[in-house]
Amino acid sequence: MTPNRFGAFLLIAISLAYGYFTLQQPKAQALGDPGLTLFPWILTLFLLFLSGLLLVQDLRGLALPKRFSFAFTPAGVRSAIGLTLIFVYICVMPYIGFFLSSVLLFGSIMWLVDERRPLIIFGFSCGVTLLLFLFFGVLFQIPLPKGTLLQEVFLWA
Amino acid sequence: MGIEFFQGFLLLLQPINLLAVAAGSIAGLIFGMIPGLTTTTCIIMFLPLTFVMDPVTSVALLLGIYTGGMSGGSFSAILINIPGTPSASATQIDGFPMAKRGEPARALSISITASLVGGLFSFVALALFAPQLANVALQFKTPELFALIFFGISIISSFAVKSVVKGFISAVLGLIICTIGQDPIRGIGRFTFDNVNLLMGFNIIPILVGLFAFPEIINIFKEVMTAHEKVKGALPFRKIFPSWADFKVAGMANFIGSLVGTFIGILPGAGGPIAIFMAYDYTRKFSKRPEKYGTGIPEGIASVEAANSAVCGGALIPTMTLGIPGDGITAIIIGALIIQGLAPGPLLFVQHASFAYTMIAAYFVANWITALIGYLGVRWIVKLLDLPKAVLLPLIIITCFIGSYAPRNSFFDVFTMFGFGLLGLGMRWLQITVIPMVLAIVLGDQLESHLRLALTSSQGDISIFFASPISLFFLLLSAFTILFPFIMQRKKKGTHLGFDSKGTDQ
Repeated sequence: MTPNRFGAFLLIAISLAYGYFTLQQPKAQALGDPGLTLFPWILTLFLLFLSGLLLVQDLRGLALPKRFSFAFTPAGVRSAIGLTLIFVYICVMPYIGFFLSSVLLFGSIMWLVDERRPLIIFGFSCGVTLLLFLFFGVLFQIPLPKGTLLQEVFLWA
Repeated sequence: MGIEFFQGFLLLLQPINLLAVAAGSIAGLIFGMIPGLTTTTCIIMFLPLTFVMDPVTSVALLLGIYTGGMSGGSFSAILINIPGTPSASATQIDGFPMAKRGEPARALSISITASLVGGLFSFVALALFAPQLANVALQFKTPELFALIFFGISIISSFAVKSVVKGFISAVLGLIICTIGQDPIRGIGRFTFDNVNLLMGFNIIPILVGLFAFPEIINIFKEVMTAHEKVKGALPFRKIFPSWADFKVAGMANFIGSLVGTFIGILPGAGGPIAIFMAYDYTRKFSKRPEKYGTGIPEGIASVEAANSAVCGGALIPTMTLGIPGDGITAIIIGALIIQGLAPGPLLFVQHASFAYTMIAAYFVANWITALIGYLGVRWIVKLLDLPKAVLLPLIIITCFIGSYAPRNSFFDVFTMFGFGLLGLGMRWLQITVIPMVLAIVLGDQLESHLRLALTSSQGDISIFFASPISLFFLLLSAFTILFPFIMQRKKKGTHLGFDSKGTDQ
């Protein structure tokens, strides 16, 4: 299956699902207003039409890219690990807070892009995160997450 | 205009606002210069600050970044033969040979001066045309406004992308995202799935951060180990300032570049990468020595740099007067202004006239400050080309988090950012550009409102859209922009359907 065919089928599925959910919405037509489902219906039809067009283009060999290009290159693997680290970062932050999670993320990313000097990693991770915390959190008063786990630990102590 | 124009300038001349322009210019120059980082990334990194700033200071900062980023891209193009931004990708054609010949300071000087000229030229166009265009747009009623927004989305879906079909898919997906939350007329929740976070719809900032920043973060992951060869050569202080001889030689190139850049900037979606190559081509055609182009002549550098700077002012015209962003960066600026409660559009010049003129003034001052910082600081700024990306990468990620979290202090928004980041990566993989989606998200609510209000007033009769000459004009123009790429393709009898042009990510 080509990427565009995959994309076209996915978009057809999305438009059908969107159409189904549009059916569930209240019509709410009043005082001449065509209702809050008019626009979603137009979009459903448009997306179905465009998905079909993409499919036709792909079948006729007119759409790019023509094939999947999955290659396990070091850069690709590094990007995938990087994305996972970002996901873990935003998942743990509500619990351990902005400062600690950012220090950990900073160090991990530096390690991931081949920085191996522990002192440099430690220095930059703590230093830059502290600067960011002071800049955004203290100077500009943006309430950065403190972390529920740490708050409990401090309360307990 | 009159008194409000001067009030705008006076408001901007407060020290905090000048400081914001200068900080933005420096940041823009640095981010524009370093390959792999872009002006868009820089704006996204600074977004959290704008939430706690006064609207005037915010816009001063953002416009500083915008103009600085356009100039900064040329530094790396000249010194390491790699453009810092796509909008500087033609600067290296003449800039690098000149630098290699032992004249890097001269090349940088011509580039900074041309950026200033292009910026000032487009400022004049912005100051002259924006208020007039806003006045005209104020006369528009709902059918005309619907047709205008539809035209904006059509043109960006047709001309800013490689495939028209994919451009429209991107736009329709953006409009679908817009329908989540309260409907714009009656405030009834739609597609919320009983999730209280979805009641107000998605916040625009996390969407912008995700769609723009994630693909760039992945790019940096891929490019992080790439080493660049830097041109060796002194940058003596006095040679950084432009010589009269160079200014005279490059005069016509500056003018053509400025004209082309301003015009292309006004067209939504066309953007810098198209403007620079057009400007370079026109300058060569009008030149007395076209054969010298590519060998390191001042005209080659000046035309490109004047064009890419002029694009900014041009792009601000539809952004400020019609609320239609000219490119990805102006879409982010609109997002930042919406957060501040200032939606760009014709009403901006009526309800917030002093702010609108301050914005124009900020663009003028940003050009001067960027040039001043460029002349005085380029010797130190270019040293940052050696800045390790191992430090920059996590810094960008963390500021992306802050940018998404700060508007509502909500982790839902942070996960929205991550989700849209993955969507942006998926779209890039399918070669679907995100720019039409962003435009649709910015304009979706207005498009639906005007459609429904027009139909309500006509009791459901769709001929209301064809009754007004203005509305009919924009709809015909939309039809033309949709069909034009197909017609061109037919003529060329090419291999794939669509209109080939460079992307507009800055």
